[in-house]
Amino acid sequence: MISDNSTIVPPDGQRNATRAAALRRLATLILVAALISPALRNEDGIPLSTYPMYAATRGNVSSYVTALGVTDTGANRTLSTSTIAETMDWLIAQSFLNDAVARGEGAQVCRQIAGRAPEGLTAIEIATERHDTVARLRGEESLLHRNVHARCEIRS
Amino acid sequence: MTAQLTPDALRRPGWQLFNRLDSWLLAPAPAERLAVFRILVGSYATIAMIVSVGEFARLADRPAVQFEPVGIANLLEGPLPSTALWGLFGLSVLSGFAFTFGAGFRYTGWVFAACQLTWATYHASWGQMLHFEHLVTLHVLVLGFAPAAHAYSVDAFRRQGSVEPDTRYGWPLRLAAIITVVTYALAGIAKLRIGGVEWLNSETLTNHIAYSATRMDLLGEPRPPLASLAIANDWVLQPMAIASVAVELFAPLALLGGWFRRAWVPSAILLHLGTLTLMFVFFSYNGLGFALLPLYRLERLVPERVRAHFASSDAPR
Repeated sequence: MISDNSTIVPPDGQRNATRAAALRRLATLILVAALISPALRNEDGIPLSTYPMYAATRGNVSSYVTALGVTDTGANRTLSTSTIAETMDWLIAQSFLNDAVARGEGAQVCRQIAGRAPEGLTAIEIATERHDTVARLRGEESLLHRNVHARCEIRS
Repeated sequence: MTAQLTPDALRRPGWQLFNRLDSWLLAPAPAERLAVFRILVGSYATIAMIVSVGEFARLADRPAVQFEPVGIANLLEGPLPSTALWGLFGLSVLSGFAFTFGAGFRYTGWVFAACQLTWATYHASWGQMLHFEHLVTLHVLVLGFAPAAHAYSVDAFRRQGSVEPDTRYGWPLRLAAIITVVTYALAGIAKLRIGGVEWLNSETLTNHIAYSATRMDLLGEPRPPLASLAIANDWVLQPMAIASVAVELFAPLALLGGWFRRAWVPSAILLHLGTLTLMFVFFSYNGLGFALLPLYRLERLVPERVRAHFASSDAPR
């Protein structure tokens, strides 16, 4: 289309397409900026994240909050994630125990777990254990220290 | 005086690069490509939501003191009442099916995207950031606001008309591809920023593998199948550490397509299989390949017979 002063004027469709393309370029830039912004701010969140999973270095000695069953002979027996925290996800189960001990709710959580415990157990213990994890995988003794936060009996 | 783009200026490398990027970003694509992405991502997200029913039940009973809101959950004053949480579950599943089948997509698209964002945020608001839900949430958000049901959908069947390839179908896929590769690159950057070059030593990976295996032992779960073998043959771990960081950092090269994509995609899948067999850490959306779908011409996944059927039913009457 040519206007009176002989400059080329794009038709409406073309003008709309140009505007849409410019908006898409701008939106893309905003999206990329948003995606990398958590890394610049060093602030993890959702849905935008720094994705710090397993990013930290780690020594061979680690502490774990554990929930173990105790049998009538005094032996310890591990419990499933569903018994511990009613979940199939071990990340959630571990976080459940960590949070409980951090809040000083070990005894309360101990009683909850005792209510879900399988047969053959006489007590539940919530403890923090330090292990040499690499030694454990090599089949060697790994437990370095154990601190029991709570113990609760299971009533039959 | 206005700046003019002379033929010489247009031949400059910087301008050529911009043009190539621009052409890639705004390339038209068939509606079928975006539709196949919608169906696959919608299926994954809806099934994942249904499988999460146990998590909904678990969170419905959690005491308020354990609520640590993140993201949009900060708008809440406390945990959702259990009826609201189950309402979210019901709406998520219903809108997830509608999203996948492309029914009433003008509304169900963004409703499901909002449900997915709300659930992922609420799920992560109990003291454990669950990074495996980030990418699928971002992809559902892109799809939910895109014209992703103009083909292979209930809406398209009702509308009865074919659509031409267009930038509006290609651009959302480009955004999804950018999100995928930036996500990987950020994970690689985090390792170097937080762990430093020590992350490239075999020691860090050894300790991560041993940490995960011990955690599984103590939680009464089986150990990752290759954990003990890798620790016994620890010479493999340094090359694996370097390779895993390289796969993450160089993910954006996959956008170049061709050889780069052909090399990167299997490497990324291998990385996820590695974390699964060594640490029982599996990001299923990534490891099963859903996250990598926007790098491909997905309409080719549809058998010719099905394509022909839809082409004939799409023709205007």
